[in-house]
Amino acid sequence: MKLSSKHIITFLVLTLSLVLPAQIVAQEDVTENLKNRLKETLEDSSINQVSSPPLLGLVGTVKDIVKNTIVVEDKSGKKNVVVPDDATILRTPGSSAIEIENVRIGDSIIAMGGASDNEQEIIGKRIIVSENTLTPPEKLTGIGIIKDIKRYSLILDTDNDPELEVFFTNKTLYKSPLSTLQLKDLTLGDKILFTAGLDKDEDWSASVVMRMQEALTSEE
Amino acid sequence: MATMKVKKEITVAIFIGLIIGAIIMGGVFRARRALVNLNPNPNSSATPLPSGKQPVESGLYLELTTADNQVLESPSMTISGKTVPKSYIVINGEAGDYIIVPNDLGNFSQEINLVQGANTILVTVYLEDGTKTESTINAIYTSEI
Repeated sequence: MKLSSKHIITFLVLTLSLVLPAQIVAQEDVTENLKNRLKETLEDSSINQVSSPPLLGLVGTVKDIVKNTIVVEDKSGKKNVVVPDDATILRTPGSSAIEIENVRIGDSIIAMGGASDNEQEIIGKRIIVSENTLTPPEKLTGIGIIKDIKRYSLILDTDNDPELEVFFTNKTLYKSPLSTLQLKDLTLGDKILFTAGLDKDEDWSASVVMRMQEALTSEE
Repeated sequence: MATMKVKKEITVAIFIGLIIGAIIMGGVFRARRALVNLNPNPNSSATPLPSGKQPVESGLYLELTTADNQVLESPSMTISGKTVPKSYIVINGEAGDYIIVPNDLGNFSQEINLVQGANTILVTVYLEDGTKTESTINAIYTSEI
């Protein structure tokens, strides 16, 4: 077969018409990829732009006072709070300004400031002490099976109490892993996870109730 | 003479074929590279686990990524972390309680309200069988510093 220049040119045009779109798609992909990477880089740099070091806090109990350093024990151990001359120390209730000499061992303390150069101590800026213990509100959380639904409460069978009464209020939030529920959606035998706080009558008042069974049946 | 001409045309055809083949191969290679670069790490959206902490299929763990002992000037903060999927997370704050579930990778995040002063936040993860693990963090909300 004799190949004329016409054949060759036709063949070339046909081949290029097939190859060029693939090249263009590849180029578009590369451009899109570069855009994405640039966007990620900008997002990362915006996160890392910290103008000043973050403030540190410490909540605990005063264990010792040595010169201008208060030794504080929190949930993870003892830490030092260095108190510079310009730090503010307040005693509550009353928020009266005091000197470090008036801080007592056993006081509850909230210390705010920055980290020292070796990051082992807090340089106190604002320190609040109190004779009163800082105790978070008492909460009860657990899993139970609904045994009864009364007008104002649920009777739950839990590991610790087979007849635990948990009251609900108009602020109680009912939900499932998938959606928000209403009280009427709960039925006897439902397995629920609840969290409750003590109300003024010393009863457990539920703040959130989540039905657990729906998650197990619908997600598996 | 005619044989020489045919040989020349065959040589030209082979040469052109090689060029076209090279172009096609180049295009395919670039397209493949572009597609691979579009998603260099398919798991990059997942929060990396701290070293030595890998989820065990039946084990329960809680890894909070929210820093402890933060001092905040706004009355809310975000509690986030990682645990096992299909678990239930209870967050007991001093200004409110929350029950959430993690996503399929076990990641979770919840904005919570704070009270003025010291806040103790208890995060408890439950499995359906009642197994639980918990962790506490502190935060200080203040408008004066």
